[in-house]
Amino acid sequence: MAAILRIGRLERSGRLLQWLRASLAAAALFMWGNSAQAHPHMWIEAKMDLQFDAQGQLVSLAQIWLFDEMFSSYAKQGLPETAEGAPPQAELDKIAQDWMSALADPMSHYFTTISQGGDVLTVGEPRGVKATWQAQTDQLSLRFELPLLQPVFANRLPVTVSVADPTYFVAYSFEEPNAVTALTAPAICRAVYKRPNRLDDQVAARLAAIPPSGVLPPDLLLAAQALQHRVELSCP
Amino acid sequence: MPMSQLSASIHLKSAVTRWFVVLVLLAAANLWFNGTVQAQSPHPFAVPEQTLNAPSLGWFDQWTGQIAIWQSHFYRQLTTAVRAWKADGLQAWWLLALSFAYGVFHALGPGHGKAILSAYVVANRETLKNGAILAFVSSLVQALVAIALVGVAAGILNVTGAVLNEVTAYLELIAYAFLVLLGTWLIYRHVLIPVVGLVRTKHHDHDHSDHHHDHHHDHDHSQGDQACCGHSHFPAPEQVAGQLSWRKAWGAILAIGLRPCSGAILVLVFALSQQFFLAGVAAALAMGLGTGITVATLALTSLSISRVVASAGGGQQRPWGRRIGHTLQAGAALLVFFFGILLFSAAWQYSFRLL
Repeated sequence: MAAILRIGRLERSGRLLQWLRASLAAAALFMWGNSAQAHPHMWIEAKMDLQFDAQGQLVSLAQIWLFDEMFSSYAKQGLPETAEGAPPQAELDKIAQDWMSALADPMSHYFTTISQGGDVLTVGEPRGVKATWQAQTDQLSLRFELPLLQPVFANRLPVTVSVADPTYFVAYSFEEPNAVTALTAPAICRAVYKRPNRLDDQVAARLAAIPPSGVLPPDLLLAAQALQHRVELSCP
Repeated sequence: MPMSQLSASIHLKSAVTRWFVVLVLLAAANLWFNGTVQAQSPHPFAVPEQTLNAPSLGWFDQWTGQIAIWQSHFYRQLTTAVRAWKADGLQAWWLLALSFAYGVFHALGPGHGKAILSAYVVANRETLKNGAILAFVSSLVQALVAIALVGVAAGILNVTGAVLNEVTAYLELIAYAFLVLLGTWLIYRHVLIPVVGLVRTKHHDHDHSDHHHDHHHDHDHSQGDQACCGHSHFPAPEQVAGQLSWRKAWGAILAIGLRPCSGAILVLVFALSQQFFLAGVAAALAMGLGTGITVATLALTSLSISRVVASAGGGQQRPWGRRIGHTLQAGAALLVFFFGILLFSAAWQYSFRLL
């Protein structure tokens, strides 16, 4: 309202820029909120498997993402169909490749971070990429593996895997039975899934105030990490 | 005072000068906003979604967060409801109710429709009835655009989702271009003419014998209508009971309606995939009705507030009432213009990354 009332003084003020800024603030206020942050637009039921080599080192992370029906039908739109009503595998391969190259963008980074003792572990080109159409439920799924460039032991320091879309466009869930596994891990290893905390309003407001390129203060970084789906792998 | 001299020396009578002023204004605003607007890069899993990444402020997050939860709650059930209707015609009401509720909450969340319409009706001092009609018509147009887009592009031409994204991005760009033009026109009528008129009356050394129209008196609004649309003796809007000028309103309707709502597009595509497009059409229309109710409520609220504020100054018969009234109109005109620039810049940057 202050911005609106200020216009009355326009004809005798040279503060045009100041007034423009105030109006922008009012406009921004009116737009209220960040659309990407405000509502998830797709839902992914995810599963992951931590993969080990014969020496007991963690070598890669396999994930399967099952997309919701609405998004699945949107992705399938316009594609040719086989007799069973599924898109041909060649088309699905193309979609999978498009998604993987988009997900490789550093901003998204497969929505996955693998770290050990605070250090982020570098991953190579995704392998075993495959999109599948599940005819029973009309849903698309995407499978891929992220290989670690340097395989690691999880005996001294636990390894943390976190999955989240920082823009909240995608809502992940790891609620299926056996959503998190470590099938090839040494028997002593344990992978524990930690559900994300519910975003409290104060943290949401503080997070939202930070520009995408901004640096998070330590307490907010912790709060943001708690918003991710986390898997703690330890082999004590 | 340099500002006043500058304004006073601009002769608005000349059409060339008018357009020059408009262009300079546009160019300056665009330059200034390009530095501040930040468009999202396309999401890996792109669906037609609003491109603006506006800054969010304080307690609004709490509000939008709660809206988002309700909206998702309804959205998540839409696919089941489409299937239920397909299996049993009596289940249609469930999809319609869900879609309506989704529309109500969708319009409460982030989005430009309600903001533009609220500002537009305040700027033009529309009647309450006209405000409500505009809200419903623009929401209906939005639903019809989504139905036509999916029906033709997906249903008949069978294009892919990626192509639908592109077409939506183009529609969005056109809608926002309309919005910029609408804002420019409103600024011209409610800011430039009154301000220059005011300056002229203060500078009596200027010849203003033939500038009667620029005087800042209580009929300049209706004269603006005359100048714009060729209405003769158009009465002041306060005295009109429900006369809506479609020639004046189509810009606002298109600026809002041309950009289809993502929820409507998605439910239409899903219904198409179930070979039950009719359910999608019904759902999109129910969403439009829900959106219309929310937008109408918000537009009428801002209209009522602006009237109360203006009448606090004594109404149109008193100098202060007029001043406050004109200030509100001018502010609303500027808001429409800034939304336009903000949204257009974001959509422009987005479409360059997308296309």
